[in-house]
Amino acid sequence: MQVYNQAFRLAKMCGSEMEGPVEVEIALLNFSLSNQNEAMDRFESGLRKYLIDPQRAKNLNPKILLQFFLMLNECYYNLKAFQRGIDYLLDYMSRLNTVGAGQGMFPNLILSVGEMCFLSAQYEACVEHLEGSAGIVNELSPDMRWLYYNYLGWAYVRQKKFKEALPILLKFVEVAKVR
Amino acid sequence: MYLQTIEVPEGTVLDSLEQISAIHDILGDKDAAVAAFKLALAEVRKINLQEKPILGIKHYYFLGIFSVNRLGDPVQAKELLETAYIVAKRMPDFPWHSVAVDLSDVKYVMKDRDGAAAQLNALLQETNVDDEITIKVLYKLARIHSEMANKSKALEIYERLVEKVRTSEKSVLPEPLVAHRVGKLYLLTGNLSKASHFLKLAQSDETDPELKSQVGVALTAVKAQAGERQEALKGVEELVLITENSITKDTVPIGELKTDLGEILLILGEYNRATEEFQKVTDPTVINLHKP
Repeated sequence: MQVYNQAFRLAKMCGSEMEGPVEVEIALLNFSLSNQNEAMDRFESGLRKYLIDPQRAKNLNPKILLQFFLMLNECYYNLKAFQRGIDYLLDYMSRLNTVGAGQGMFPNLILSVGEMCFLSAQYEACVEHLEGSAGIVNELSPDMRWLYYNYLGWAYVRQKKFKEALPILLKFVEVAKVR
Repeated sequence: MYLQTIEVPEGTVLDSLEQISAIHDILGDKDAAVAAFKLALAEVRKINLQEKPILGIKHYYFLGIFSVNRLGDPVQAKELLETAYIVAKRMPDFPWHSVAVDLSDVKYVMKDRDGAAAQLNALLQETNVDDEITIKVLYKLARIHSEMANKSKALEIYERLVEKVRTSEKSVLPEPLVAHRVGKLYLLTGNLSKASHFLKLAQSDETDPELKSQVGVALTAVKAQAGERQEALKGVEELVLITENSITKDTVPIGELKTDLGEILLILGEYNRATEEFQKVTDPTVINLHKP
């Protein structure tokens, strides 16, 4: 940790492009040490720095980036920091749009936003994000589509919008049962 | 966030099938509700009750209640609730008492009054039953005995119920309502002093005009049967005023009240007035004769 902290200070001092990756390494270490708060701060800050240089951002590997988001989201869930997570992911997607990178990550990120909206009882927002991003369900891996229908269907149920919930829940059952 | 296949947690599909059935029912499509219910039924049977008892209780219980309340199928409900009950009772510290009460309700709906009463009696033998449950059990048991024309047993239980309601901090049933039932039952058995005692307890509720008028009728009937003619006639006049009062006549079932008044006037030998009150029950020009 000490070495990474030193490296981070140096990278920051000289404005190195390594500042982001080193900070994400610090986040990973904190995550593995169960320092969830620190890990969350570091992931957020480090991942943002990945997008400072648009050219570099375009070369990022979405699969690796998603691994980091997976851990960041776990911090949000464990700390019940759902609103913070929603705000961060939406902001991150907006930044990705600006630099024209990482579009392949959008379905997963939106699904996470929907999930966190649901878990924080923001059912209307959950529907808005999941329904609003037309076609994301088809871009999700078939094995994960049930999650989309599950959250969307139940978000409608929680709002007592039963007519809207019905086809989604039916779809969920169909997708979940054929898995 | 998920990057790889994650299994659908057990019970998730069942949750949705139950919800789908409920939605069809809400939207008025009974056939579709039954179809989805059957799918849920097939799904619930897959639950390994040894390994996942809580999940099993939850879904057997839900489907049982849904079956009787929404689909009108008490037979199916009984089977499901019995499973939930057996599994729940096996589990230490599980609040199985309410499942037992619901199971007795289903037996009652199926006209199996003996079965329902046995279930409720068994609960009364248990220790550590929550007051709320005990009150429900006593009330249901008293009602069953009353319907089975076992009035002395019903009265015994009703008296326990009044005591329980009076001493419990949980107000599941209002004391005046229970006291009124007990008082009326004593009135029917001819025990006028007990009837009077409980009906006076029931008088404490000033907020329910319907109950107030019913208690008034019953107390007047007690006086009439006890031969307290003047007091009874005074009670009749007060009740007539209630039936004619512009505010109360909208909140009490006038037809029932007038029938009761007619019966009291018969006891008092006031045959002409009794006939008048009875005639008003069937008079189409008298509005709001029945419960609003």
